[in-house]
Amino acid sequence: MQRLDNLGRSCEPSEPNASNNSLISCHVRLDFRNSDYKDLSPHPTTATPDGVTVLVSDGTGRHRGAVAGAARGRTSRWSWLPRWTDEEESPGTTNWAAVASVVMCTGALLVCVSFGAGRGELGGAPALYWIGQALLIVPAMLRVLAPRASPAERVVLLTCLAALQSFLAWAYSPDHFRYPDELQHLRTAQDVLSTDHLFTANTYLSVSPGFPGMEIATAAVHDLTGLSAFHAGVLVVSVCHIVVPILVLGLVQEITGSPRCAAIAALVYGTAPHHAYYNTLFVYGAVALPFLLLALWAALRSRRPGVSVLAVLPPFIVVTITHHLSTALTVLALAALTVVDMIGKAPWSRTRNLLGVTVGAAAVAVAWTLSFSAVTVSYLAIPVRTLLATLRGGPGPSAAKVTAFSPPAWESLTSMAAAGATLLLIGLGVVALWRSSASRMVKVFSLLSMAYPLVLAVRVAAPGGAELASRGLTYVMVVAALPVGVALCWLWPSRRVRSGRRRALGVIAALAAATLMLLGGVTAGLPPWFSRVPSGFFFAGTESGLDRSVEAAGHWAARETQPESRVACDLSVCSVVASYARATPTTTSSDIYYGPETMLPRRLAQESLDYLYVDRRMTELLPAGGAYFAGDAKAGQHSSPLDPKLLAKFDTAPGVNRIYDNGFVQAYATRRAWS
Amino acid sequence: MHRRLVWELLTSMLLAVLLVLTIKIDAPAAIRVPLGLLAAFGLPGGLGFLAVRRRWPRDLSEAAVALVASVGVLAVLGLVLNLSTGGLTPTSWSVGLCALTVLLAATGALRVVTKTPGLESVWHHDRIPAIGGARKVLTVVATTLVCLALLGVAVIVTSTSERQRTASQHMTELWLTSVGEQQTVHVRNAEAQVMEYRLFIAVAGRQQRTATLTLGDGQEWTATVRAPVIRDEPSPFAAYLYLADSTVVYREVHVNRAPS
Repeated sequence: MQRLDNLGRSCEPSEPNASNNSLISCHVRLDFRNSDYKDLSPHPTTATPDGVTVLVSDGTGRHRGAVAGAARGRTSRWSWLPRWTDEEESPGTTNWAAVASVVMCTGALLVCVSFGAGRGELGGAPALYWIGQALLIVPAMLRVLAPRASPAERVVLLTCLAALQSFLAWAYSPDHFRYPDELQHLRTAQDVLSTDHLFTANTYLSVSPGFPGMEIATAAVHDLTGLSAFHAGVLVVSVCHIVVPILVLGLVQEITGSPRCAAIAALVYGTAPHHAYYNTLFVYGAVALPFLLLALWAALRSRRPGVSVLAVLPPFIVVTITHHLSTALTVLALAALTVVDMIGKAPWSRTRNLLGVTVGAAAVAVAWTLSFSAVTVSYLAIPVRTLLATLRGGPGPSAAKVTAFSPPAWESLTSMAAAGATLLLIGLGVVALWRSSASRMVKVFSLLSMAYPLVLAVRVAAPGGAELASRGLTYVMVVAALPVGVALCWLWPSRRVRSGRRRALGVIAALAAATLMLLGGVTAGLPPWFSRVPSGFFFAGTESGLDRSVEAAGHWAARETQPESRVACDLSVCSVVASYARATPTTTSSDIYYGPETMLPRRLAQESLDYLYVDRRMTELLPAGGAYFAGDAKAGQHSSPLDPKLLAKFDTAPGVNRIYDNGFVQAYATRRAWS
Repeated sequence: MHRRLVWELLTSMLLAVLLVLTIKIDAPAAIRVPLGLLAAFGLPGGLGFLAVRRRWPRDLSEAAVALVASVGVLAVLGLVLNLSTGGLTPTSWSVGLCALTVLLAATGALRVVTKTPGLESVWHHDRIPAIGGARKVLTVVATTLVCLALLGVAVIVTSTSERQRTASQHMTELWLTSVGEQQTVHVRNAEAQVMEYRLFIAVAGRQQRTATLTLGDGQEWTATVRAPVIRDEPSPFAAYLYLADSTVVYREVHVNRAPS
């Protein structure tokens, strides 16, 4: 006799309606794909009080017996707790993928129309945006959750949703990169294209040249097709974004064996705040993400007989050359899987192999980082130090003041409720998995989702926690999606498992929770609420801070100033000047703007500034993010725009020459004042 | 079956060779873009899949894995090309991809012909059945066309609105470049219409030159004047731009006195 734990969650009490110590009815579903029983036909199951015995014939008259879990249906006082079963309904005859795809594309069109209305400063743009988002998300949600949808339909809809998210990210900024992080990487990509070689120093984002995977792929598409760097970059990132839900699906299916649960987990992964927008941008983390998932998937697949764990290495190498944090987290995840294997009592040979690959991967990561981007260590140490300082009782986040840029109360509440719902579903999912007959490995794996509340704690407790948490959730949601998917499967089970009013209530709860989480993904994500629809100019806003004047200053600097010049500027001007003109922006010069003229020569000399940029709108507008400058000494304290007198000093200071003026933005050459 | 595979592999290699040629002769975008996209996103992952699994990707999920694998292959190939003297040029990319295509095609063919055991299939549940039946084909084609039409409208709306927004942000640029005692003043009209300006240039506080300019949209005007360095001069050089019918300074650049 052999237990079938690894073959599938075979026998579950369907409802706690059996009397004590009696055998209850079981639905036995055997999954032979990973086992030695492949291609053998099962005989009818026989159930005894000791369990369910399955006889499998190999066609030669030889029978193999297997016990599929204990089938005793003891009604205990814990029977009301969730228990997961991968019982699935056979797909319905109607495939709704075509209808749903058309509705989703209509939603995307409405969102684009809302963008157009916003650009034209027409009314009704936000309403159109939300209607479009609803049409985009709801069909995919309904069909992915529905028990009778076919696995293929779910894959099509998840892919369609991801593709439309990429399309909308392009539609938000259709002519060039605007997000500051994109401009940082654009500089590295332009360096690759202009020098034909890698690893040119980038003073705007010093770690970027050491992780050039995305820029290499972009350069390849640019060189092979003749498309612009912008279009090539958009294509590369879109390809990487579109496959993410499919890979999450594959990963969770590898763990649970349930296609429906896996598809729901992939949908749930899409509720991570950065998924719909930030991870569709030209940033290296977005390109590394699918390879991280491929590496983890390969590690999980190595549990199958005959599959080598060495398959982890090719995608891991791509992660290593693409993104530092993803590399560190992949190594961490591989180590966690090794521990899960150990706790889950996996065969030692498999655990040993995985451990070997983990150590090898860590060695490769360290060697690459030290060889090509040693600055990464200090770069990543900054948020780590912030977190450690918070743990030691250091300064927490400053109390949020209600400003014109604070999100509406309903959006804040929605984001919080979505996080609460996710947390609740994680709890339910973990309990459901632990009470199921899932393998020990799956149960232990589900505990990794406890990282989710840790990330929420960072969001609440650490300075800049919102940004850290949003980025962290990109990775944590990979493990959190499993229990949430399981919980939603439990809430909305197949008709054979639960029926009647209880099922209807469960369906309503599942739909409400999924809607809330998806809505929360939009409200907690990017772009911020005030520029969710592109409209007017917002000072120091991310994309909304880049209008034609700011960009013209960047192009002028690229033509007329020396590369690597040291510059002081506000956040928006710095992003274009550092990217287009390869300037080095300082992050410690905000006091030059705030201070008196008498300190100007000394501070200009201390910062060795070559140029200083002034956007006159800082005397009329408050900064959207609470800071005018990177490293703003008065960040979060601005209650009124800058006094124009503070900027007038640059027009009279000896040795400071105004050499560029486009109305809003002026550039001053400052070297003569101190050299 | 092998004959069909041979044709498929030969076609792949032909495409790779064509890519080298199109880049060599700098073919028009209508040829280069689709061929380049196929070579960048299709061939490495597809042939890599064949080499590993002894078959082409046959459903959406496998196609997705092959697609993202292409990006990975490009990244690694770029590292290799970086070691060459030429580096990452269009020619080296096309030649590199061509060589890789031949290598992967040969490996795939060898594995199929010799029936080297491949890895088992990844997907068990999500296989999308091959499109069969006229009704199914019609549904897929109609859906695709409707979706493309909707997204086409979205592209037009997006491009038009962005163009209009950019055009609505009018601007005139005035800037100064210095070489020794020569100061060159530049004016560029980006107001989306023909503009008339008056320019006053002052050296050492005295008006040295005036000009009336008429510039079309996108046009640029420059003038170079000599501005000798006079120590302790409070305003060695200044240029003021006015709109034709205004007395308010529209743009200004200046050189301040040197620090003491």
